[in-house]
Amino acid sequence: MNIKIPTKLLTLLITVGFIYACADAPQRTEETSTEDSTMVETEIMEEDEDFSFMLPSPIQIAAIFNRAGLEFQSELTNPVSNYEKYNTKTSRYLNFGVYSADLAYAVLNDQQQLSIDYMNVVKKLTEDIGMPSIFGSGELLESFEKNVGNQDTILRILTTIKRRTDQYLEENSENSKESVFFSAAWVEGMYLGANSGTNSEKITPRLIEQMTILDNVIKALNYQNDETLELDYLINDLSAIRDAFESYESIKSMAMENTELGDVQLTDAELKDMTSKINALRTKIVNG
Amino acid sequence: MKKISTYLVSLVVVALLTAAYPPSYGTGENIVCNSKTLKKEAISILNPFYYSSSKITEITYDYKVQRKEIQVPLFKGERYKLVFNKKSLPKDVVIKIFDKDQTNSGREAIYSSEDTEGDLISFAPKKTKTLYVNYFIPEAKGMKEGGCIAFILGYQLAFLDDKKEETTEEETQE
Repeated sequence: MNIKIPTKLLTLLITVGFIYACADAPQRTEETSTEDSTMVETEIMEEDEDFSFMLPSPIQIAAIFNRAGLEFQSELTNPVSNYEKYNTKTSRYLNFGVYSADLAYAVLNDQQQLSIDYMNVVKKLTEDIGMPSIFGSGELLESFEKNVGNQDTILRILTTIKRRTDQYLEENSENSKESVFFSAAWVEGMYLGANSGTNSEKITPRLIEQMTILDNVIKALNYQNDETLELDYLINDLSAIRDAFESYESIKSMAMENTELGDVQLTDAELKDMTSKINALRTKIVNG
Repeated sequence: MKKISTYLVSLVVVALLTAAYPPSYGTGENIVCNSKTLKKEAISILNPFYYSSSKITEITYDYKVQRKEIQVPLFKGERYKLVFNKKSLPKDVVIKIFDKDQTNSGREAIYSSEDTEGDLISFAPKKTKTLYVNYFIPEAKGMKEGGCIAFILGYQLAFLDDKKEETTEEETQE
């Protein structure tokens, strides 16, 4: 076989080949050759697949409101019967978050039968979503029902569910979906807090405190990469809640006077506005 | 001439193959990380705190020092414990916890792992406000290296403790 390749073409191919071969090799730089990590000009590496923000536990948020004196009102939670409405992937993901928040709210208020009902609906949604391993062979539900009067044990079981959910998402490279569950649980927690009618002097600072994480929740939602989830309305409404909150005079003056966020009170009009926006979004979520 | 042509063609093929598979150094693809085990070990020292959330951070050593930052919101009046498991790291990574993010030049480190021995370390902040966990990753020394850190955040339900105290007080009074 006689191969005829012009010498110029060969030279060009070799050059191009070597340029590409060397393109991604790491380059040693002079300014970073020192041993002392604290003395050098360091840089934050942008994390493409790992959003650098810890989302808190929805159980903890419920506990914070509970500690602030949030009174239990059964008519506020999302009825278990609404489960039948959730036939789309998005509604199932979001209402898994809503029901998780309601479950924590029921447990923390010692509502035993309601807790069992919510536990069952959360279990059904984990199966619908495709995460049945979270509840294992049923021992978790059995233990929950057996210990429903023991708040400490029940809360340990709820944290086990949270831990297994995190592990499931991680093992399936779906970490970003945590933001979907969390955002809905956050909306439900805020809804329960804002509508409870409990002494607003105690609850409002806790609501304001929760607003500090909203910006990161929105970022996390924007980052999640499952295009089959329809989250535009959620992101838009959460952004509107954040923007409205930042425009309130009480919040703007707080920033100017360098006041601690926990010491700020919203005016009745501001609280009413924030509540109505949260309620509107929550209605969209629970209506599926 | 035929031999030279064959030789040059082979050279091009090798060069192009190398181009298609660039060095994996620093890309993270060689990282072996058993996140489940790392987290389990970290959770084992969490008690009496409840598990809140976790984060596995992949570390790839590069030719320059790197820093990764994680924002951790902590709420007023609550108690927290931060646990880190560094067992899966071939080279130590210094963990520092700051009161402000990396854009604030006046921020203060409220914790540093520099003087702490062992791979499993924990820190319980006295003040609860948003904290910024920073991993200072040393430079590579020419070998392909990577690993990961497990970070577990635990919280204590203060109202449960309050309830227990109330019960104890009632029992004492009786």
